[in-house]
Amino acid sequence: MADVIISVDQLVKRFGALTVLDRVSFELHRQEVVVICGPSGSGKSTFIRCLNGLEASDAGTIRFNGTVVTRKNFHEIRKHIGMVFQAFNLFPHLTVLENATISPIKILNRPKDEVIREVTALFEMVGLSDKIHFRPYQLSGGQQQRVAIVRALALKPDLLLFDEPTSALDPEMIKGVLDVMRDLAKNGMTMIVVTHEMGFAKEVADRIAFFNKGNFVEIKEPRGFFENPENEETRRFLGQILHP
Amino acid sequence: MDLTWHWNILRILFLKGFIPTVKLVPIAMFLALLVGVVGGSLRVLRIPVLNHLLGIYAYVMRGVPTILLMFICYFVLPTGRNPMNAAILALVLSNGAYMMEIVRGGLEAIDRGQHDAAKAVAMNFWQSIRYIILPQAVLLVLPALVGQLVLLIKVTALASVIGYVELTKMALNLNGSTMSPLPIFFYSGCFYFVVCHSLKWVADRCERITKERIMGKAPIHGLA
Repeated sequence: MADVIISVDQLVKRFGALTVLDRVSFELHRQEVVVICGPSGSGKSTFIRCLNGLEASDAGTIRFNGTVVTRKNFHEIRKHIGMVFQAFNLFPHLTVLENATISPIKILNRPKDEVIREVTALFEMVGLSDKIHFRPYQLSGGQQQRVAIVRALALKPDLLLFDEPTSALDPEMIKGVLDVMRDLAKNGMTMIVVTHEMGFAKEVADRIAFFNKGNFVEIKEPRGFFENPENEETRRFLGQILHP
Repeated sequence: MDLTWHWNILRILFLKGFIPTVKLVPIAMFLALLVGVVGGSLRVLRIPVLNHLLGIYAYVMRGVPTILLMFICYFVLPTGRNPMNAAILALVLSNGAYMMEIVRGGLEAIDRGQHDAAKAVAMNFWQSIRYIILPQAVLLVLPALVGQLVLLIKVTALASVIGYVELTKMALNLNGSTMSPLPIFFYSGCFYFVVCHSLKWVADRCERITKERIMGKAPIHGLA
């Protein structure tokens, strides 16, 4: 059994009077792909945002590679955790290439030539080698999201977090992005993906989790999740999204 | 009042008025921008005591006429009763406050997603400000910043009250000795006009080019 890369213990997050994460506990193993699905407002985005410190939790522990994650070491941890956002969040004043190379060069202080070489290869892998000197606004949504994935990969992370990566895309672009994600999974990347793309989940995920009202309701391998959901809430949710 | 006379007036205004004015501008501009960028960035951090102090600084500068500030800098503050130093200090204090608020507005206008993405690629606060947020914010507030710089150029005229002879004061002196206000004040106005509008023109071109090339934003006006 692969070792645990990230573990969460009794995580609590409140926004004012609202408890968004209600004592969540979770473990992810290296090279594992977990898909998290659930209704809007369930807290699943907040959960993964806590993993790389974009949200500060109110209670509970997060351990990454054995180290407890605190407000003081978030910056270090983020060098090993990449994130892809629903809104892409590319840097509009930089070229596509610069978007991906700025952090390895300026923040990680890696040699410029080496970074450019590696990142160019990554862009080739996602089919964007002819676009690297373009600006984000010149790219379609699907292309921008692939740039965002390369930007996350450029730091050579141990874990990739995806926060509804295809929710803002037109249907014809979704496949392109999911293909990239599928390849990443096949090549052994550890991933947590918040998504409603159940086809992707079925094919790629090692476990699928249903998240609702601030906590995990059910986590199972795909077959068991779809064919034998134990929980009534899970069944209802699956009913809604699989047969709209 | 032949051509030679006009030429002499222009020469005197240029050498003894325009040049001293221009001497004040670059240093005051640079320092005021520095105050603006650093102050604006610090205000965005919302550090408890510091934020209040900077807020008070902006509040006070907005309520005090620059001419009074000139007097304060010359007579009260330790500037060695040097008119040039006092004038620069007054200009920096006054314009710096406005620039700080302009920069702060620009920084706060940047989408939260940019901050998230900067953090996600392991940037700390200052790195994200420097590489991601500030460049975008400056582009956004460039028109306002340039407007403030143009005001700064015009307000250098007030340095005359503390004994710094610049363009306006020189014009006044010349008028006293020649009693020909029309050409003298007209020429002085022309100098200011040329400088202010040149700056505005350069800034407009920069803004247009960078916004189009970088962010793909077409200009709102059709002005060529």
